[in-house]
Amino acid sequence: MVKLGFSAVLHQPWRIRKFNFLEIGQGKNYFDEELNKSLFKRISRKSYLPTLKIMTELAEDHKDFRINLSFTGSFLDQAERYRPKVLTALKELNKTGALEIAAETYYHSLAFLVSAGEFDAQVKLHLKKMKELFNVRPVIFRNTESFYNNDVAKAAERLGFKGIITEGSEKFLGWRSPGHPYRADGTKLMLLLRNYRMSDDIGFRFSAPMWEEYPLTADKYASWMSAVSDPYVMIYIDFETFGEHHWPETGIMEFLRHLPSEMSKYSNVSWVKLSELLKLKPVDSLDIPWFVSWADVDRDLSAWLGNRMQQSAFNSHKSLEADVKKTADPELLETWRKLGTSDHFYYMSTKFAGDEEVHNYFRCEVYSSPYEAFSNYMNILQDFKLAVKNKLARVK
Amino acid sequence: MEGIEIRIAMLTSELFPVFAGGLGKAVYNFAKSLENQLDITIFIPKLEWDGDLNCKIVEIPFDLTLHVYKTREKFSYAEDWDSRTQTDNFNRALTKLVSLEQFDIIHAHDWMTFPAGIELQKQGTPLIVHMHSTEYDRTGGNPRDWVVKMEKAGMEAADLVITNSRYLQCELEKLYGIPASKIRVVYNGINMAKFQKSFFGTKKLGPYVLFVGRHTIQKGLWQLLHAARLVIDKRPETKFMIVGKGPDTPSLIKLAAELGLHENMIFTGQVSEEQLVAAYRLADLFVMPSVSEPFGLVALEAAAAEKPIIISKTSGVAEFFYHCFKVDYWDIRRLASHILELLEYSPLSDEMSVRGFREAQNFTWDKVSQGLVHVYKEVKHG
Repeated sequence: MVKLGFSAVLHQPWRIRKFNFLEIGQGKNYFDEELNKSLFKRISRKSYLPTLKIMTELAEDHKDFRINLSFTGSFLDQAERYRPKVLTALKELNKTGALEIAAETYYHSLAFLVSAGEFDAQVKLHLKKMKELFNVRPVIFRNTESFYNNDVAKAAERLGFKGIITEGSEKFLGWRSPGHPYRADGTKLMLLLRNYRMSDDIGFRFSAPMWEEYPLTADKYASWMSAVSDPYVMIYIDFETFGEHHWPETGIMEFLRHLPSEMSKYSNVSWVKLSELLKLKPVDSLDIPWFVSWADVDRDLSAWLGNRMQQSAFNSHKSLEADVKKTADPELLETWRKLGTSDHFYYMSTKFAGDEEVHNYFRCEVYSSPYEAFSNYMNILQDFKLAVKNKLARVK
Repeated sequence: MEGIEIRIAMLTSELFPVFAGGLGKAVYNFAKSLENQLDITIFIPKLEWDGDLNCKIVEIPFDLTLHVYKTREKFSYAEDWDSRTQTDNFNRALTKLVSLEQFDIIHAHDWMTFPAGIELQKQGTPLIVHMHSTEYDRTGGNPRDWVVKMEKAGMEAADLVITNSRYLQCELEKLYGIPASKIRVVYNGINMAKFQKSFFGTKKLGPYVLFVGRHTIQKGLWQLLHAARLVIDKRPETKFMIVGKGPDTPSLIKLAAELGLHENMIFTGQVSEEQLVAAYRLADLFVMPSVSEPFGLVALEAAAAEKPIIISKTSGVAEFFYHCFKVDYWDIRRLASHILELLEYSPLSDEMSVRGFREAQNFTWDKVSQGLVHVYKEVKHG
């Protein structure tokens, strides 16, 4: 019996606008309202709305269908601001009972590397939002971009979670399969591992004509799933896989639409909510002292902190925490948190091997180069630093 | 590459080390990269040439109305080479001398040698014309009609046209109506080692931004000076070193004074190769804000000297070089912003110079010679 935990994440960063060095200190706004709005609307039209509609219909037509989603707070805030229909559609899906929601950091941030206080604050903000919008208290936690080590598991346990998600990477699995239940070392938490091969079949390879399995159809995928001998398979992909990364013309929407009926032909496959996997008995515990993530071929933090620009920008941002909090100004705090979203650092990556295409895919809408991404970010941070300084001076 | 028996006649009006601008350097480097593979004869004006090339050099004696060949002096004779008669005389002599020998291909560099190329082609030798820049580029959009005609005639007659960038290729298509099908792009190369020399000692000048190039309207110096004003408002200690000279030098010096930049601008005039390398190595960053730049070798040189670079989008180098800032030449505020960012954020300038240096290493002369041989073979064997 294979339990299929089919999951996707919904996230949008608050992209910053082009900010000239000469504008530092002029108190101008940082976020590109027009760009954020137009991208959100486009992605809603191409991906969020049609996909959520299909998922809701599937939940209504197949009573065994289950779907797992996680959202970032910045995604939900943008939905509220630019396309409230998306929230309505999410609530509709939630009403079917087929949806389970996992927790994330509110701002899709590297807050775990900033401070324990900030990490806890962002997770709690997220839990509060889930309660408000969907009346749920997630028991599974997924850190930003699945970045993880033993200490992240401990922090998640402190915050009351029962399970935690990360990448099923050979780096720590070795010969072992990601489809067995493991305990996170030193905790009672269940470690849920993403099957990246079967996830990437949909997320990356689906529309690649060079792939030997192209075109991937729902019946083919269902047959692969039924052939799995592990207790579970967790698929985790970007939600925009449906309709945005792969356009509707590729057949991705039909693939999704037909997946449940194709799966139902195999009696040994069942859809599950991720929390159902917590009942499995762990075969072992996994000790992961160093950071892993789901990004790039490196599967570590180098996509965000791989070069000196990224490290310097991250540290400059981090160093403002105490002062920002001292101002007790909610607006400054929110701005600082939006600037801590990992995407800003991702745009600054200069990695070349293999992944540059993915980086460029996500960057091209905003910056022509990592150097612009960095300098633009730093200009804004300089301006923000002045704003914080001024506020503190006034408080005193 | 052994076993290729192609006899090439290269026709040029300049040849390093006796040279005026980029053309003489480029032809020298092409010849250098091919000297041990092909049988090359280079035809040049009477220059008392004394460089080191394993090629046959033929100097053309002909009547000059101007004394432009005091070759050891660092003046530019291309700008004096402006009479139709002089060009005709040169080309007549050139045609005569080249036709005394047997060649497989005539490779003519820039318009000054095109008439001879066309004539020799009529006598039966295939012709490649090499466009290093256009009359439009060199004159800031005020081309001399007869020169444009000469360029056009050369390209139309030629079996193939070589340019050093897609950017220039587009100009040839647009301005001269040359079909893309007969244009081949061969990028320039760079001698990395030359720019690796270390210069120790204290840098008395303080932080400075470097520009290298002829002072003509196409180089974007007017924009650079206005950007400098904005930079200096924020960082008064910043200096700008302007290497080179040209017809616009006096008006640029005047503009610098009008903008109140006299303490920050250093106009060096023409410098020696050694001094140029030092200028690159000691600079904090390099700018090439050209309005129009067919290739932009100076930007690659700066990258080879491990400096971060800002280049205009309207340049050949912008089409293939990644690790740099690219700006619209008219966007003075953005240019100023990037200069300030590179001065202010050391992780930025470190990352860009390290990556840019590695990227510049791709532009080897081996690749250039492969590209040229490929074009030669295409012309010879069809």
